[in-house]
Amino acid sequence: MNLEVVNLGIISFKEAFSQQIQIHQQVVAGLKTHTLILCEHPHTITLGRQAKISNIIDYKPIKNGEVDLIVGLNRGGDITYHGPGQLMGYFIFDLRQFNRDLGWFLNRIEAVLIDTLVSFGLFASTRKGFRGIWIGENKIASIGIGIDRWVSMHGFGLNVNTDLNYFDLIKPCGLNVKMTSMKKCLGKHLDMDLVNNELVKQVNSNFEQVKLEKYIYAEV
Amino acid sequence: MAKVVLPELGEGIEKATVSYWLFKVGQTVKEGDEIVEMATDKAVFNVPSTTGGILKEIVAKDGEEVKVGQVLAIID
Repeated sequence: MNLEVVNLGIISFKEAFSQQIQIHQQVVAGLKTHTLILCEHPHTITLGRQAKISNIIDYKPIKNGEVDLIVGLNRGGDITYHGPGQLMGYFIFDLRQFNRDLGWFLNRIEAVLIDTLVSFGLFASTRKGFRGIWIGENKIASIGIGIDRWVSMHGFGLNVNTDLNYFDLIKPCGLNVKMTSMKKCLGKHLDMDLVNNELVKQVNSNFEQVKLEKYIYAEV
Repeated sequence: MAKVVLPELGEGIEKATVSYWLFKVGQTVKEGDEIVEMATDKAVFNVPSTTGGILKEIVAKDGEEVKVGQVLAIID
Protein backbone atom coordinates (compact mmCIF):
# COMPACT_ATOMS: atom_id res chain seq x y z
CA MET A 1 0.00 0.00 0.00
CA ASN A 2 1.35 3.39 -0.95
CA LEU A 3 0.86 6.83 0.51
CA GLU A 4 0.86 10.04 -1.45
CA VAL A 5 1.36 13.31 0.42
CA VAL A 6 0.15 16.51 -1.23
CA ASN A 7 1.30 19.77 0.32
CA LEU A 8 -1.05 22.56 -0.81
CA GLY A 9 0.64 25.34 1.16
CA ILE A 10 -1.78 28.13 2.16
CA ILE A 11 -5.13 27.52 0.49
CA SER A 12 -8.72 28.56 1.22
CA PHE A 13 -10.85 26.00 3.06
CA LYS A 14 -13.25 25.83 0.09
CA GLU A 15 -10.49 25.14 -2.45
CA ALA A 16 -8.91 22.50 -0.24
CA PHE A 17 -12.36 20.95 0.31
CA SER A 18 -12.95 20.63 -3.44
CA GLN A 19 -9.51 19.00 -3.79
CA GLN A 20 -10.50 16.58 -1.01
CA ILE A 21 -13.74 15.69 -2.81
CA GLN A 22 -11.89 15.04 -6.09
CA ILE A 23 -9.26 12.84 -4.47
CA HIS A 24 -11.93 11.09 -2.37
CA GLN A 25 -13.85 10.10 -5.52
CA GLN A 26 -10.65 8.75 -7.08
CA VAL A 27 -9.79 6.72 -3.97
CA VAL A 28 -13.37 5.33 -3.76
CA ALA A 29 -13.06 4.26 -7.41
CA GLY A 30 -9.69 2.61 -6.70
CA LEU A 31 -7.90 5.02 -9.06
CA LYS A 32 -5.74 6.62 -6.39
CA THR A 33 -3.82 5.42 -3.35
CA HIS A 34 -4.17 6.64 0.28
CA THR A 35 -3.56 10.39 0.23
CA LEU A 36 -2.64 12.86 2.96
CA ILE A 37 -3.21 16.54 2.17
CA LEU A 38 -1.20 19.02 4.24
CA CYS A 39 -2.06 22.71 4.16
CA GLU A 40 -2.85 25.88 6.07
CA HIS A 41 -5.98 27.99 5.70
CA PRO A 42 -6.60 31.73 5.93
CA HIS A 43 -8.81 32.63 8.96
CA THR A 44 -11.84 30.30 8.79
CA ILE A 45 -14.48 29.08 11.23
CA THR A 46 -16.00 25.71 10.35
CA LEU A 47 -18.95 23.85 11.82
CA GLY A 48 -19.69 20.11 11.64
CA ARG A 49 -23.25 19.03 11.01
CA GLN A 50 -24.05 18.63 14.71
CA ALA A 51 -22.56 22.03 15.52
CA LYS A 52 -24.53 24.78 17.16
CA ILE A 53 -24.24 28.18 15.51
CA SER A 54 -24.67 29.67 18.99
CA ASN A 55 -21.07 28.58 19.68
CA ILE A 56 -19.95 31.60 17.63
CA ILE A 57 -19.38 34.32 20.21
CA ASP A 58 -18.24 37.22 18.00
CA TYR A 59 -19.67 37.66 14.49
CA LYS A 60 -17.88 40.92 13.65
CA PRO A 61 -14.83 39.45 11.85
CA ILE A 62 -17.15 37.21 9.81
CA LYS A 63 -19.37 40.14 8.82
CA ASN A 64 -16.41 42.29 7.77
CA GLY A 65 -14.90 39.46 5.71
CA GLU A 66 -11.78 38.91 7.79
CA VAL A 67 -12.88 35.38 8.71
CA ASP A 68 -14.64 32.88 6.39
CA LEU A 69 -17.56 30.84 7.74
CA ILE A 70 -18.26 27.28 6.54
CA VAL A 71 -21.24 25.34 7.95
CA GLY A 72 -22.73 21.85 7.67
CA LEU A 73 -19.53 19.86 7.12
CA ASN A 74 -19.65 16.07 6.92
CA ARG A 75 -17.18 15.56 9.73
CA GLY A 76 -17.31 14.73 13.41
CA GLY A 77 -16.84 17.50 15.92
CA ASP A 78 -18.58 20.77 16.57
CA ILE A 79 -17.14 24.20 15.78
CA THR A 80 -13.51 25.10 15.27
CA TYR A 81 -11.18 27.78 13.99
CA HIS A 82 -8.53 27.35 11.28
CA GLY A 83 -5.89 29.89 10.34
CA PRO A 84 -2.31 30.60 9.37
CA GLY A 85 0.19 28.59 11.42
CA GLN A 86 -2.28 25.76 12.02
CA LEU A 87 -1.24 22.58 10.21
CA MET A 88 -4.23 20.89 8.58
CA GLY A 89 -3.93 17.19 7.73
CA TYR A 90 -6.64 15.65 5.57
CA PHE A 91 -6.58 11.86 5.49
CA ILE A 92 -8.16 10.43 2.35
CA PHE A 93 -7.55 6.82 3.26
CA ASP A 94 -9.31 3.69 2.01
CA LEU A 95 -10.53 1.90 5.14
CA ARG A 96 -11.56 -1.09 3.04
CA GLN A 97 -7.82 -1.85 3.11
CA PHE A 98 -7.75 -1.52 6.92
CA ASN A 99 -10.50 -4.04 7.79
CA ARG A 100 -13.08 -1.20 7.82
CA ASP A 101 -11.91 -0.49 11.37
CA LEU A 102 -12.92 3.10 12.04
CA GLY A 103 -11.87 2.92 15.72
CA TRP A 104 -8.36 1.75 14.84
CA PHE A 105 -8.06 4.45 12.18
CA LEU A 106 -8.99 7.23 14.64
CA ASN A 107 -6.54 5.81 17.20
CA ARG A 108 -3.77 5.85 14.56
CA ILE A 109 -4.44 9.53 13.76
CA GLU A 110 -4.27 10.37 17.47
CA ALA A 111 -0.99 8.44 17.75
CA VAL A 112 0.48 10.31 14.76
CA LEU A 113 -0.24 13.65 16.46
CA ILE A 114 1.01 12.53 19.88
CA ASP A 115 4.25 11.09 18.45
CA THR A 116 4.83 14.23 16.37
CA LEU A 117 4.44 16.44 19.45
CA VAL A 118 6.62 14.14 21.58
CA SER A 119 9.40 14.39 18.98
CA PHE A 120 9.36 18.16 19.56
CA GLY A 121 9.64 17.54 23.30
CA LEU A 122 5.96 18.07 24.11
CA PHE A 123 4.19 15.54 26.30
CA ALA A 124 0.85 15.23 24.51
CA SER A 125 -2.04 12.87 25.22
CA THR A 126 -5.70 12.18 24.68
CA ARG A 127 -8.10 13.00 27.53
CA LYS A 128 -10.84 10.62 28.56
CA GLY A 129 -14.23 12.04 27.65
CA PHE A 130 -12.76 14.80 25.51
CA ARG A 131 -11.91 14.97 21.82
CA GLY A 132 -8.60 15.93 20.32
CA ILE A 133 -5.04 16.03 21.62
CA TRP A 134 -4.05 17.84 24.78
CA ILE A 135 -0.99 19.23 26.52
CA GLY A 136 -2.08 19.03 30.13
CA GLU A 137 -5.35 20.98 30.45
CA ASN A 138 -4.97 22.75 27.11
CA LYS A 139 -6.05 21.50 23.71
CA ILE A 140 -3.45 21.60 20.93
CA ALA A 141 -5.12 19.64 18.09
CA SER A 142 -8.68 18.85 16.98
CA ILE A 143 -9.82 15.76 15.12
CA GLY A 144 -12.92 15.33 12.94
CA ILE A 145 -13.39 12.66 10.29
CA GLY A 146 -16.03 11.95 7.67
CA ILE A 147 -16.41 8.47 6.14
CA ASP A 148 -18.14 7.98 2.82
CA ARG A 149 -18.16 4.55 1.16
CA TRP A 150 -15.40 3.51 3.60
CA VAL A 151 -13.04 6.23 2.41
CA SER A 152 -12.18 8.92 4.95
CA MET A 153 -12.12 12.71 4.57
CA HIS A 154 -11.13 15.62 6.79
CA GLY A 155 -8.68 14.90 9.63
CA PHE A 156 -6.98 17.19 12.10
CA GLY A 157 -5.90 20.74 12.78
CA LEU A 158 -2.67 21.06 14.80
CA ASN A 159 -1.81 24.42 16.32
CA VAL A 160 1.82 25.02 15.41
CA ASN A 161 2.17 28.82 15.27
CA THR A 162 -1.58 29.62 15.36
CA ASP A 163 -2.64 33.06 16.66
CA LEU A 164 -4.70 31.69 19.57
CA ASN A 165 -6.66 34.94 20.01
CA TYR A 166 -8.91 33.86 17.13
CA PHE A 167 -10.26 30.98 19.23
CA ASP A 168 -11.90 33.66 21.41
CA LEU A 169 -14.40 34.15 18.56
CA ILE A 170 -15.90 30.73 19.30
CA LYS A 171 -16.40 28.08 21.95
CA PRO A 172 -14.00 25.54 20.37
CA CYS A 173 -15.71 22.18 19.77
CA GLY A 174 -18.58 23.55 21.84
CA LEU A 175 -16.50 23.24 25.01
CA ASN A 176 -15.17 25.92 27.28
CA VAL A 177 -11.60 24.82 26.68
CA LYS A 178 -8.34 26.70 26.50
CA MET A 179 -6.42 26.16 23.29
CA THR A 180 -2.66 26.11 23.04
CA SER A 181 -0.02 25.83 20.31
CA MET A 182 3.45 24.36 19.86
CA LYS A 183 4.75 27.94 19.66
CA LYS A 184 3.19 28.79 23.02
CA CYS A 185 4.41 25.60 24.70
CA LEU A 186 7.97 25.83 23.34
CA GLY A 187 8.27 29.62 23.47
CA LYS A 188 9.45 29.89 19.87
CA HIS A 189 8.13 30.09 16.32
CA LEU A 190 8.43 26.77 14.50
CA ASP A 191 9.34 26.11 10.88
CA MET A 192 6.17 24.62 9.32
CA ASP A 193 8.17 22.42 6.94
CA LEU A 194 9.98 20.86 9.89
CA VAL A 195 6.65 19.97 11.53
CA ASN A 196 5.19 18.76 8.20
CA ASN A 197 8.15 16.43 7.65
CA GLU A 198 8.00 15.01 11.17
CA LEU A 199 4.27 14.44 10.79
CA VAL A 200 4.72 12.54 7.50
CA LYS A 201 7.41 10.43 9.19
CA GLN A 202 4.97 9.60 12.01
CA VAL A 203 2.17 8.73 9.55
CA ASN A 204 4.61 6.34 7.90
CA SER A 205 5.50 4.66 11.19
CA ASN A 206 1.99 4.58 12.72
CA PHE A 207 0.36 3.19 9.57
CA GLU A 208 2.88 0.36 9.22
CA GLN A 209 1.24 -1.09 6.14
CA VAL A 210 1.58 2.17 4.20
CA LYS A 211 4.80 3.34 2.53
CA LEU A 212 5.41 6.92 1.45
CA GLU A 213 5.53 6.87 -2.33
CA LYS A 214 5.30 10.50 -3.40
CA TYR A 215 5.53 13.89 -1.71
CA ILE A 216 4.12 16.59 -3.97
CA TYR A 217 4.30 20.33 -3.40
CA ALA A 218 1.27 21.73 -5.19
CA GLU A 219 1.06 25.25 -3.80
CA VAL A 220 -1.52 27.34 -5.65
CA MET B 1 -38.21 -8.64 6.03
CA ALA B 2 -34.67 -7.59 6.97
CA LYS B 3 -33.19 -5.55 9.77
CA VAL B 4 -30.48 -2.96 9.14
CA VAL B 5 -28.21 -2.78 12.19
CA LEU B 6 -25.37 -0.50 13.24
CA PRO B 7 -22.33 -2.38 11.89
CA GLU B 8 -19.09 -3.09 13.75
CA LEU B 9 -17.03 0.11 13.77
CA GLY B 10 -13.83 -1.37 15.16
CA GLU B 11 -11.48 -0.74 18.07
CA GLY B 12 -13.14 1.05 20.97
CA ILE B 13 -16.30 2.30 19.21
CA GLU B 14 -19.43 0.80 20.71
CA LYS B 15 -22.10 3.35 19.85
CA ALA B 16 -23.08 6.14 17.49
CA THR B 17 -25.86 8.71 17.23
CA VAL B 18 -28.35 9.04 14.37
CA SER B 19 -27.67 12.36 12.58
CA TYR B 20 -30.49 12.10 10.07
CA TRP B 21 -32.27 9.73 7.75
CA LEU B 22 -31.59 10.00 4.02
CA PHE B 23 -34.78 8.01 3.21
CA LYS B 24 -38.36 8.24 4.47
CA VAL B 25 -40.65 5.41 5.55
CA GLY B 26 -42.41 4.00 2.48
CA GLN B 27 -39.59 4.78 0.06
CA THR B 28 -37.89 2.08 -1.99
CA VAL B 29 -34.23 1.43 -1.21
CA LYS B 30 -31.71 -0.61 -3.16
CA GLU B 31 -29.08 -2.84 -1.60
CA GLY B 32 -26.07 -0.64 -0.82
CA ASP B 33 -28.05 2.63 -0.76
CA GLU B 34 -26.84 4.76 2.12
CA ILE B 35 -29.94 5.23 4.22
CA VAL B 36 -28.83 6.98 7.38
CA GLU B 37 -26.06 9.29 8.52
CA MET B 38 -24.54 8.42 11.90
CA ALA B 39 -22.03 10.26 14.07
CA THR B 40 -19.62 9.49 16.87
CA ASP B 41 -17.79 12.28 18.69
CA LYS B 42 -14.96 12.14 16.14
CA ALA B 43 -16.46 10.78 12.93
CA VAL B 44 -19.48 11.00 10.66
CA PHE B 45 -20.43 8.09 8.37
CA ASN B 46 -23.34 6.62 6.41
CA VAL B 47 -24.85 3.18 6.90
CA PRO B 48 -25.91 1.34 3.74
CA SER B 49 -28.97 -0.89 3.44
CA THR B 50 -28.03 -4.55 3.42
CA THR B 51 -30.97 -5.41 1.22
CA GLY B 52 -33.41 -3.94 -1.32
CA GLY B 53 -37.08 -3.23 -0.59
CA ILE B 54 -39.42 -0.74 1.05
CA LEU B 55 -38.25 1.12 4.14
CA LYS B 56 -40.96 -0.14 6.50
CA GLU B 57 -39.89 1.27 9.84
CA ILE B 58 -37.30 3.67 11.19
CA VAL B 59 -36.46 2.15 14.58
CA ALA B 60 -33.74 4.60 15.66
CA LYS B 61 -34.93 8.18 15.31
CA ASP B 62 -32.82 11.33 14.70
CA GLY B 63 -30.66 12.10 17.72
CA GLU B 64 -31.00 8.61 19.20
CA GLU B 65 -27.90 6.82 20.48
CA VAL B 66 -27.50 3.29 19.13
CA LYS B 67 -25.14 0.45 20.12
CA VAL B 68 -23.26 -1.71 17.60
CA GLY B 69 -25.61 -4.47 16.44
CA GLN B 70 -28.76 -2.56 17.43
CA VAL B 71 -31.53 -2.27 14.81
CA LEU B 72 -31.73 1.01 12.88
CA ALA B 73 -34.48 0.18 10.39
CA ILE B 74 -36.65 -2.56 8.96
CA ILE B 75 -36.75 -3.14 5.20
CA ASP B 76 -39.57 -5.21 3.70
